[in-house]
Amino acid sequence: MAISFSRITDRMDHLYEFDREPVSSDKLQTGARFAGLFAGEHVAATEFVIGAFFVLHGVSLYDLFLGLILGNLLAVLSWTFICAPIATRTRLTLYWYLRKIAGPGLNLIYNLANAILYCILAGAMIAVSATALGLAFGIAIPSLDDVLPSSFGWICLTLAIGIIFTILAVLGFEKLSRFAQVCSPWIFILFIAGALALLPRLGVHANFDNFFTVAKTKIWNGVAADGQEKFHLAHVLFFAWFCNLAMHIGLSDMALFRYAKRWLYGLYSAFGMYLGHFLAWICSGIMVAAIGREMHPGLMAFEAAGLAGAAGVFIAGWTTANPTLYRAGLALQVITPNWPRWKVTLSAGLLTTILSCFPVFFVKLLDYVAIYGLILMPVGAIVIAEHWLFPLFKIEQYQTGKNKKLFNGRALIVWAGTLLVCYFLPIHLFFRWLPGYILALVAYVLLHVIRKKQDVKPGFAKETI
Amino acid sequence: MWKIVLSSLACISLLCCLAAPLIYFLGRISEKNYKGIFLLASVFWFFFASLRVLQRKNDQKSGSIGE
Repeated sequence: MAISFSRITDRMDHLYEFDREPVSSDKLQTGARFAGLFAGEHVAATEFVIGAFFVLHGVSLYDLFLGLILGNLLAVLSWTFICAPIATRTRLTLYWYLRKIAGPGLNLIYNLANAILYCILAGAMIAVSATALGLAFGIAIPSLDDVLPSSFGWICLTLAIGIIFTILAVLGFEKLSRFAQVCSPWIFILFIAGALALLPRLGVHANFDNFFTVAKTKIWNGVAADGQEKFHLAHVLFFAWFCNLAMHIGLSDMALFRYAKRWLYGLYSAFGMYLGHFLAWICSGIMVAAIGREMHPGLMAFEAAGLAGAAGVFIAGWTTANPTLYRAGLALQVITPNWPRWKVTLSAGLLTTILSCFPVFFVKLLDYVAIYGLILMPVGAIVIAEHWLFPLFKIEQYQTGKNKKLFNGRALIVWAGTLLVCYFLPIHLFFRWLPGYILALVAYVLLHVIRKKQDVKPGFAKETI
Repeated sequence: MWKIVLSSLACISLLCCLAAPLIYFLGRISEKNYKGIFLLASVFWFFFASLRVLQRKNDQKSGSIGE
């Protein structure tokens, strides 16, 4: 078992070989590049769903604006003060840094968890695209309570789209990535255009004099849709903060910020947060209110911008699912000996396609995003503790890497233990990650302090004897 | 030269995508016209922006220092 495990981790190392060396100073990127990257990445298909869900969850206007301003600010600060400093100091990806800290075995588990989570996310994107294509065929989309596929038509539609997306990802991931670059500014404009065009339907005057009245009474009126939980300021604030938890607190954006000249480049994440997770969410909220509060991204965009709108939702789902499928494939490649990239992407795509049939991942997207961040968050805490807190407590860093161990047992205990505690915490799912993060930080340091004391005692005894 | 022309045309197309709903919101054009203009401007955006990306790729292949 140990031999096969190390073979797997060797293969994994080989896959990420090109990232092994710290980024050299001549490869550092400008701030404008980071601004563009963030703006493009965070205006995606999910934005059509998230902003609309805030309306369905009965968020009031005040709670929405304040929650999004503060929550996105906290997200930007998390990138700036947690993720970027560690990335600019090490110039490594999380993969290689975690390998030093937690060992290749735990790295493998992290990769697999990431792959499965990516597949589910890509599945949700396929479902978003399906809502647009379903309009053409008159296929009803699932209701907000649906867990299992609601109709045969929905299954056929998601399977067909999933297979097409997978084949296209297999045929040319890079070409699609370039296409996504072309799409992202247009998708952002689609959000603005859609909201603007539907404002008259809600009764907003051309001079905007009654906008806030309409917003308070017809859009974010504080009334939750049937069967939907009522959200308040804290829900919006925390959601905006943890929406990309795996990237900032979870440190997976170290891959990005290792190219930053300074840690302050984390502030460029504001371009993604305030364009995508603020403006785009507000726009999709306006659109869903204008179509009678029905969670139907395809219909929302079609009503707002006609054929181009429906195409926009389809394309947004596609361009978001494509890199997600690629990343899932990359992560899965470690357990598929000697498989070429196309075969792995195809497998990840097929898994994603099957998952996309289940509407639960699409209609419960907010909860899924929370769970996604929660699962990967303890890894970020472990890395932060080892990087910043160990020197403070005079604990030796990178013991697992130095001793060439396969697993860092304490890291595994902290990761699993944190998730177990979070599962039983008697608070809303959205708020569980924060106490969980603090717990993981403290527990990881404590376990090492205890171990250090145990190691010191026998030596001390010998010396006194 | 081509790069500037393609970039300008792509930007104009995107501006048209934004202007159409604004003019519709102000009540100057009908919904049908707005959606038609938006669709047309979107097609132009994809055409010019894609050409621009291809141009950039060709420049990189030929080792141009223009980028």
